[in-house]
Amino acid sequence: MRHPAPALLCSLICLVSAPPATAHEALDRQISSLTLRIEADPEDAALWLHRGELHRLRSEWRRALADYRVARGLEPSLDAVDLCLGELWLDRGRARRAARALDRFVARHPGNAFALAARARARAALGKHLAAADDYTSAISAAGPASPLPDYYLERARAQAAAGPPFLDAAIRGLEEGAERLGRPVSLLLPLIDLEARAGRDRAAQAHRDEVEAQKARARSGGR
Amino acid sequence: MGRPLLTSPILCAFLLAAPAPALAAETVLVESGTTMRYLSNLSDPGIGLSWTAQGFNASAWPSGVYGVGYELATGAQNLIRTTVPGGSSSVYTRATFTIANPAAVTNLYLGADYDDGYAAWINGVPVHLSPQMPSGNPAWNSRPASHESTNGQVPGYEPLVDISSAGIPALRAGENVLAIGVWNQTATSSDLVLVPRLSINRPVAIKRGPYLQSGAPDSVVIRWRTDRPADSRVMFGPEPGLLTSVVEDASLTTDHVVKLAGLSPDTRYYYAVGTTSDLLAGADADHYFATSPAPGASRPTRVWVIGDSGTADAGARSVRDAYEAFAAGGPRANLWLMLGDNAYQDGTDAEFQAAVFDMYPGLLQNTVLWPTLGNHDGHTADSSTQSGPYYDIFTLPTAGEAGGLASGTEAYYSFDYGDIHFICLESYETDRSSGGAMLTWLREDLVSTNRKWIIAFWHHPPYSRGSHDSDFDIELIQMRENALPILEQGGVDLVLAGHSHSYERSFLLDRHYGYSNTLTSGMVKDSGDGRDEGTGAYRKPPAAASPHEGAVYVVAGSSGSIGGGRLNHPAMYLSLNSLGSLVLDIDGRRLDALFLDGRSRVLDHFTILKKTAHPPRAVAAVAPRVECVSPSGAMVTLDGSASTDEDSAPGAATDIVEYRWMEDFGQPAERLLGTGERLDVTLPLGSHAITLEVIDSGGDADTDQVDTSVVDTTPPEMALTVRPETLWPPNGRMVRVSASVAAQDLCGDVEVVLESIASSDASESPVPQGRRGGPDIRGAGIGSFDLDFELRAERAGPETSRVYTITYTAADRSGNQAATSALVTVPHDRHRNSPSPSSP
Repeated sequence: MRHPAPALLCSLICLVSAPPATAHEALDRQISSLTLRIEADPEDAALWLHRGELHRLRSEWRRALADYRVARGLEPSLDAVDLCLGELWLDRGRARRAARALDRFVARHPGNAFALAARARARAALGKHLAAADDYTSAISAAGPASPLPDYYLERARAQAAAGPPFLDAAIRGLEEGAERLGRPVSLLLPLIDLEARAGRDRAAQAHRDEVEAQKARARSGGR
Repeated sequence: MGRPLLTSPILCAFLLAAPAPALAAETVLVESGTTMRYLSNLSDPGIGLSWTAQGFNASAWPSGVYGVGYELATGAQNLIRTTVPGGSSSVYTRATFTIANPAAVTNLYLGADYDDGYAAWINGVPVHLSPQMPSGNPAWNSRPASHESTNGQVPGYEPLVDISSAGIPALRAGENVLAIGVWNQTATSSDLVLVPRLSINRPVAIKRGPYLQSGAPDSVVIRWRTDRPADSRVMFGPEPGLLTSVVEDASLTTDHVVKLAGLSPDTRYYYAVGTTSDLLAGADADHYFATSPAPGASRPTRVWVIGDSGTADAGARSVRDAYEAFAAGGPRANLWLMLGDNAYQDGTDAEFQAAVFDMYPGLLQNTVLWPTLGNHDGHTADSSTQSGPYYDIFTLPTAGEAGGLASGTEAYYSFDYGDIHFICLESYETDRSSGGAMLTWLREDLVSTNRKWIIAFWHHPPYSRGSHDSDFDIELIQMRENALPILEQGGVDLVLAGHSHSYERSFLLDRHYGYSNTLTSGMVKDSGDGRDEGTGAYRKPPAAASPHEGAVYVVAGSSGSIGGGRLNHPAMYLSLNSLGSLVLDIDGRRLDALFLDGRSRVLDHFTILKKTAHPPRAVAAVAPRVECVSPSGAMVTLDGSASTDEDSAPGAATDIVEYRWMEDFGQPAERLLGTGERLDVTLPLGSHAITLEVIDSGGDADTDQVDTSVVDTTPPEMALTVRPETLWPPNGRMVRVSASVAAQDLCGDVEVVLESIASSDASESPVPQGRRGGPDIRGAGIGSFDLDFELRAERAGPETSRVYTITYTAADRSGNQAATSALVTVPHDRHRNSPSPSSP
């Protein structure tokens, strides 16, 4: 699964080095533009990090890593480098390295939901399903009173289910919690059906199935 | 969310017996032209801050009016009404004003057009220091840290500063003093200006909106922003002057969100917003909203679509103005889509203010806006927590409030507008994998809709070679690879995106999920231009949600600027590097789209028809004459089985979905006789013009007319009896005779009349005269329905009989006639009293 550039990253980078006027170029042209700006101001770590991130989005790993290293060298306290590194290693399927970079970032930004979710994916890829689930729980908490995306609940349940049958109940409870909080979207009810069935609770599975069908029927009739 | 306090129009009509509250007026105490005393300081006046106190004696100062200052060059000369010497370091001024009752002052606001800095006191209490001024008590020669000058033709007092917390406690009943000084940044400055404005009881002012969100058949959300926290009230009703319903929220906020529920579908309401004490906007012809049509209802719908419009510059204005000029001659948009990058550069609140709320104020107050998140909006918004300006500003459905399935998030959602199902996806910050929550929801949402049209929109285009290339950018690739198969399986008709600052429009496509070089002819379901006058409209089967029947993909990301690019994606019929917006008109089974440039020129258009290739042909058959069998007429068989449609299976007319039989088609008296390929219908006597209308699955129709007559050729049946049949004794007296006639006709009423009464006694014909004088037949209404008459009991002699023949006729409405007779005999004796009528 690929994720886009995080909002946090953009707030760290794009706001620092927003391109002029309304430029909205393709990645290569943005990279060219940033290269010119780096030549004019080679000490600006944010510019290097921004260009590295654009390289990452183009899957140019070596160039991205090189720019990240320069950015870190120029400004060791630029935490976003670790978040970008984590994303890069996740993109490359190097979960262990991703987890290490994200550990560093999360240690300094424990309430960053995006970073927590990214580390959860790295941990899940490493088979650390319960640790991944914990990160998703933290990401959900980090959303505060706002509503998190259903994905956090969904991925947490998947991680818990992957941890083995003893954790199916936790996965089901977590999905129920998410469904209740988010207005019972089908994106959580469908996996709930699956997990209830795996847990042998056919009546519960059927009840959720009925709930989904009722929602669909209501949508078809235009009823709200 | 607003808490509905009153929603009953009747109740509210009582509670709101008074007219809607008018805009409250503030009281301005000091402004340009207000009398004051002043002291300009070229040197230290040696009075410290004593001049700010209420009791300071300034009678020796010159008097003048605001504004005060000097202008050695040009700029502020129109503001200055009291001139002081050039090069003054500062000018102290004092103005008096009267407050009758300080307890009645709810707020106190101060503003000034000034250059370069100013400070103000009320009755010696410091109430404001402009941002340029150094902190602490200013001396006569304090230097503002920066230059400030608006210096227009008229005073610009903004921003008005709320000085209530310090100022109101300082007020006294009676006379008060505003002491306000202005300072120069440098002694060599070419100008010095102060035009203050002090006011009390300034009403809450609206700073944003009102704007409409989450429109549904029975609800809408109205939002607006005020300059300071206030409670909320929305009044609404059928006319601008009849706002009889009200929803209030007592909580204090600057961002007001009020949901109106319990509304009628497809209905226009006028509204006003404000506080519980002040009307802030509306109650006029420009503030209205129309609820969505009932779910599934088909009605002409216009949609305005803009993408990457957030430039807040001349480009966006030209696109807006071009659309408004275009729309001025036709229907207004029923709804409005924004395809992301709604506010450059970073989607901050201030950028949204400039790019959306200051750009489209008129449209916002009467058209529901449905946005999607762009990457620039995403710089400051976080979909994972639905936070940041984009999510704060927009109220979007999460629970299927406006139709569709609950998504659980504002990041992506769906809604219905009549027979159109709209799907908004989030292509930037949300998991785009096919197993992720968004596409899982999408899959289910699509199978849950039975609307005629499906239109999806998001920011990153699946096909583009504009300022972004869909072969390279990950968001574009993933949306194409993951979302499109689901959408096409679900029967999507039109996909709208932005991101590339261009207009690119595809052929009718299906199953093109790879890079641009993998496009094959088999993926192009219609390689024409999609235009009626060209190669023909794109046609799709009429059934809702037909999978893989093709969709048109449009990049409409040039509503703020153009970005060039190669503009040669092979999936595109047309690619333009032009500013513009997209206008959709959907009516029944037809969708027309046009690209309108910044000068109101239509640079592209195409049509999608949900119709079959051939229209049907109606062939009606019916017997030309049918004999009437009852007063209702006759059963007639109408036969449309010879009708054809080339889109049907061979030998059948399976594409014809409806047969409608009508009489007097197209006439005021038109009536539907019934439906069905064959129809047995009872028609009354007379001629009938029968029309068969056949409608195929694409909505095309044809008619055929046949004539038939229900006729009556059978005369009525009659039975006649008379009493008495024999008149005896033949004593010449008149005897009363009564007839009983039974007549009936299958087709209805008959008219019976006494046709004649004839006597066998020829000598007394035609009106026999009895031997005793007078007629032998009396009281008979020949030619009328007369059943009682008198006959004379008399005969010509003892050896003869007399026979009266009584004849009745019956005629039906068709003129068919029957006759029957009965005899009354005067026998020659008691034993021979029944001779035949012909007997002598």
